[in-house]
Amino acid sequence: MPDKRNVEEEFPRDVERLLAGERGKRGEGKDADYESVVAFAGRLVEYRIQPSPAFQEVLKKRLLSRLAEQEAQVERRDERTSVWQRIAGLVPGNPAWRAAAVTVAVAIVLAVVFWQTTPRTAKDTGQAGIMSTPAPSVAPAPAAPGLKAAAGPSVEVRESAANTPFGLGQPVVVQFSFTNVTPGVLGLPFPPPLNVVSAKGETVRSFPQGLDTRTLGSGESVTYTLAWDQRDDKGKSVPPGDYSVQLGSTRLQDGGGFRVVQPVTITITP
Amino acid sequence: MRYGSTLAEYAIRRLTLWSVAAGRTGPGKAGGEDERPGETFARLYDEFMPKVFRYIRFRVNDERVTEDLTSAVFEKGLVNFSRYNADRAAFSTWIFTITRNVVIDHYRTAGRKRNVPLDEAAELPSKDPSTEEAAEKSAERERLRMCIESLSREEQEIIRLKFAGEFNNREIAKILGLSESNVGTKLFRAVRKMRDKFQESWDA
Repeated sequence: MPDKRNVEEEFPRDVERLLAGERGKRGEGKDADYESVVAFAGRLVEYRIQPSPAFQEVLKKRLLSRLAEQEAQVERRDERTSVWQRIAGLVPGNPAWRAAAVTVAVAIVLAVVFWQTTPRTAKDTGQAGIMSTPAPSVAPAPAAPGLKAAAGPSVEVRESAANTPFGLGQPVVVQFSFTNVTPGVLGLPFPPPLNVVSAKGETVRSFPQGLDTRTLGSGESVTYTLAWDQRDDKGKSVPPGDYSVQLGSTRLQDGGGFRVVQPVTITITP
Repeated sequence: MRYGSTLAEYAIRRLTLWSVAAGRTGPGKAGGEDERPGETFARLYDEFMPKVFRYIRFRVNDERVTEDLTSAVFEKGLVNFSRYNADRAAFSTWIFTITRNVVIDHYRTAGRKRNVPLDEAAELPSKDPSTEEAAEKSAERERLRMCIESLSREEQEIIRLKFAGEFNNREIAKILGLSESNVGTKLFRAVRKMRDKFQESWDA
């Protein structure tokens, strides 16, 4: 039997050789008991379970894709930061010059505001005239669920749901498409607030407005997928029946509202 | 170097910096300043994913759960990379700390304490032509599983880290808070115990 110190050092090395795929290379002067233990270690190595190549590859692609998204986000932030840095670089370091630059910038802004608000004649502009008073603001939508009562729709909404009716407990997936139908650029709170409403008109589940804003050009669309677990705001499962997903009250930048051109009714069956 | 305002940005920058230090942990391949984060991560993944998988498989008696937990380990690794400090721990030690915590959380959630280290008959990796041979292998795996379960917790962990994680003694000693020579002794004794137990079950 090899002495204790040899075993402490030799055995792990023999195991590491087995793990590296080497066979039959043993230290000299080892007794039968030791050799038998090493052989048994070989059995443990042989019966290890390896991951399937398919799983290994799928997971790798998913992780690298996420990493690429994060890199792209970092690059976009870097670009924005460098733009601000270049602007900041234009401001002179000398306090006197800095004060002068700020004064000139403020004067330019005031001049633009004055020019925008000064009334003009139709002869000058060829139009009915730029309003001399600010546009009337649209009152905020009421807290009750449903479409916002707006001056006119700025966003058309199309809803679609697969697998209707849904069994009890089955995740309800509704896809929304929001299209900017104005001639200009629109900032859309994203995702907008959504309410699941029963056939009786009661709001059973509210999904609050997101913190993001999506900028849509004229005619541009963005999609959003809502996954509802058939639970109400208290976490309780809702009873079978018909439900709809409606837009909650939200304010668009131009004061316009939403118009659902393609609603969907969700039927939950027992 | 400037750091972004979010953890994700910090992680990307650290992954780039870490590619320079990567040569300290990966066998034979030195990371360079030119290595992109994606290349670094792919290399680390290729090296450590099978080890993480095998370690979890030693502890969890379900192929699908093993795959889920393995995914969770690397997703956490990607998100938490900003907290990784190559000066304090080798990447192998770091990723296996995450691995062990993920398995502990799994058992805490599932409420199960059982460790079933080896495969069952339905998941034989080899392409055995005969049913009889497959049944023999399955029976042998079951005996090996019982042998591992007969060990103390510490001995089981040493077996898993050595045979699944392929750690050397120094790394195992760091993870478990033991001395290197202690790990060598315990490893030998654990495998010898398993051999004896296996022989007993065979004779029985």
